[in-house]
Amino acid sequence: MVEDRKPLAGAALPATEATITLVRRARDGDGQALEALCRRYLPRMQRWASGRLPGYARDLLATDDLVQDAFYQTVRHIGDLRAEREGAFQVYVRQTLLNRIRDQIRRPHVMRTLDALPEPDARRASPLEELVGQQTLERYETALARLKPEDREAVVARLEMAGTYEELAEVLGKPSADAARMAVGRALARLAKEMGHER
Amino acid sequence: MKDRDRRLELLSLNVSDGIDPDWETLAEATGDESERKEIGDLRSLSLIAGFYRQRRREDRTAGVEPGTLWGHLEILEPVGQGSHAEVYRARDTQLNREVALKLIRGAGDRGAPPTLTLEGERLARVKHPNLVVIHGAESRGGDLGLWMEFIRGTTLHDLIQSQGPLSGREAILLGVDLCGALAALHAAGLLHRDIKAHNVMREEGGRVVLMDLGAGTDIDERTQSLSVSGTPLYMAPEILAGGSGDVRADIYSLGVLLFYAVTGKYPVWADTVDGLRRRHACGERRRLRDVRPNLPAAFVACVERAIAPDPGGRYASVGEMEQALSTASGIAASRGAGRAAVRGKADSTWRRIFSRRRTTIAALASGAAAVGIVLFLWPGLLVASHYTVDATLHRVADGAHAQLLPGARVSPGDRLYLEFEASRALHVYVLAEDDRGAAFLLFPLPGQATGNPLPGDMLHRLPPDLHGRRYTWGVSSAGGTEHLLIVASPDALTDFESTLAALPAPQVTGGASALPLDREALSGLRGIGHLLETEPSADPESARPAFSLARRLAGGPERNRGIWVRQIDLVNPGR
Ligand SMILES: Nc1ncnc2c1ncn2[C@@H]1O[C@H](COP(=O)(O)OP(=O)(O)O)[C@@H](O)[C@H]1O
Ligand SMILES: [Mg+2]
Repeated sequence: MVEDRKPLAGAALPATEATITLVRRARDGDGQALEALCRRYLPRMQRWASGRLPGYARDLLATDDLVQDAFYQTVRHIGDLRAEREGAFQVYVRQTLLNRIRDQIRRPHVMRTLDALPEPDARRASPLEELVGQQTLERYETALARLKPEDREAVVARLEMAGTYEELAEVLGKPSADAARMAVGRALARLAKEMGHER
Repeated sequence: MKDRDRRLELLSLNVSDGIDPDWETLAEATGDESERKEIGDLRSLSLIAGFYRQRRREDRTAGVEPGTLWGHLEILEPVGQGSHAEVYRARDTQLNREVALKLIRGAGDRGAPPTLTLEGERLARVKHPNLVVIHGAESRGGDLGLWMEFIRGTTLHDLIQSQGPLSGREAILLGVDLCGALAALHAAGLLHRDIKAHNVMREEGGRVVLMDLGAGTDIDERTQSLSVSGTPLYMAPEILAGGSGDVRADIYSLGVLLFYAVTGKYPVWADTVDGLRRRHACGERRRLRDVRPNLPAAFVACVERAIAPDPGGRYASVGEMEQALSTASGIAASRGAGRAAVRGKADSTWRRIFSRRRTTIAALASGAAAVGIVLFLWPGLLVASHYTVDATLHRVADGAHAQLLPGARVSPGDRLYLEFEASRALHVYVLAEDDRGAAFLLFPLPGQATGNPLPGDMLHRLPPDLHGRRYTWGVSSAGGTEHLLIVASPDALTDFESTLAALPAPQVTGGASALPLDREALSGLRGIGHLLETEPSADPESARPAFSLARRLAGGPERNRGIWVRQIDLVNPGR
């Protein structure tokens, strides 16, 4: 039998196709597709943002709106969607959101009143910064950016989105949960090495 | 450097699995500054992972709190997470009975096809004792729900992961049951399309249940183009190549499932779907005979035929396959002398699986079979390089520490500990057995902060310290001889570990508890004794302790390769 369709890179699993198809349709202005995509993605992105926003920002910014807005913009402007894997889309959304949050934090908070001023450091740090320290988190980001796309996708999907291995198999285009697990293991080892170069 | 990479990868896997090693000890154990930093960074990664894992757990329980109503169903607790759906134990408030509710949230949109209601419709059309019974399906507020009988049990996949592969005989019985369920589906004009070990459950009473028709299709829909569904490792090559397949594709998957059930491996394996297609294309596959040589020939032939690359080479129907398996079961039954005849029907299958512990021991009784099984169980044996081990057993009595030599007398109230040092990281297992064959695992235990592998080039004290406190093993009851067995291996003894994982967890009150071992766990270890020690075994089936054949522990460094096994016998005559 001759394959007449372009072979998909990695995998052709139904859920993967569904998300990527939804993204394409949403980008092209299909409102229903966008809604469906939001239902699928907003909860995990909100969870993700909750670890990244400083304490004061969590109070003052409407996190949900920030995330939703960033997500809409991402999908609308995703342009040429080269991502064949859902994992690549996930990483892309996460990166956009991170940039947004950084912008927000740098911007002076005009709406902040004097008595709402945060205590110095504690409120300035995001939960993750509190957990591992700001420098480590920065090294993590830099190292993550240096990884091969597949490794980056594996790290984000498992560490930051807390995906199960079954889910990861689909998101990363692996044939089994076990294969996804091994991929994450290898990606984390490379990430740790890469972080070492950052010191 | 190689060792270091290996350690890093193992540790990374732990982080990914959400298992926290004892970071401080690990870091202390590392002489190399940059490796210590790597370990520190992995620890940070583990913290990040833990943070989001916890958040997700909270989100999930917040989503569907116990007590929440979904239509007339009251959700009780989450029980499983499939690829597209969440599964809950629920109560049907109208009929007041327990059900399993499978939910796809937000599936009412066009993005996800309403597979669940399809699954319900399909299954409602067929009834078979080995097929899950569907009660209803409904779409509600954007969620799709399917409720069915609640199966109290385990998936075949989890069972094999935790207890290791099935025997040939057990797999035959499993195959016969699944053939029956599939035949019923096929007779109703349906294909399953997602046969895999995750989608077969074993009920506590022993019944085998095939479930999850989410990927099923009507046989008549064949002509329509289908996206690839199901799990690639179980997929027939013609499906992977983009074809739609027929009943013979289900037969192929069932063959893969049986292959997996007796080996824990897949006939064709790759870590990407493309790789899998390539391997299929060039005919690269494992032969069941090569992976596990000691299976009944008729069973092997049956599996190989089911997974023939060309659909034309397979059985034409599941009925035909069932017949072949039944014939094989006759052969297996007559081999299993002294056991109940194989009835081949559902309720008995899994009881047999749980009674298989004894049969493994019987298989080990003959020398040739023992070597076969042992080679299968301990593949690491053939590849390991040299290392040194220094192990000594010590006793604390009346505050004084003394090294114990083989044959030393111990008495109730004595406390023991082991000092262990090796030139490389090793997986260490410590067991105790008395003359009557009652055996316990002393290390590693779930809940202990220190686990395997123990890093090389440092002195370890076992049982490990916990929360900064020292522990010892206490000698409790008196009578006869106590045997302590220490096994060390460069590679994790995965088969042994999966046997262990299936045992009831002990109450770990400190670092010094013990886990009672069953016969199968021991049979594997007895196998080590056979293989590593040249002493002939006089009567391996007697009540003799399983590992009384290992070389004695002398103390002082020893050079070794492969698996290192030492035994120390202690006389415990009582007062
Ligand atoms: N009827 C049931 N009774 C008990 N547990 C179930 C039942 N159905 C599913 N489960 C649990 O939920 C998990 C996922 O179910 P499954 O139907 O395979 O979902 P998916 O179609 O998403 O793969 C199963 O592995 C099993 O642990
Ligand atoms: Mg399933």
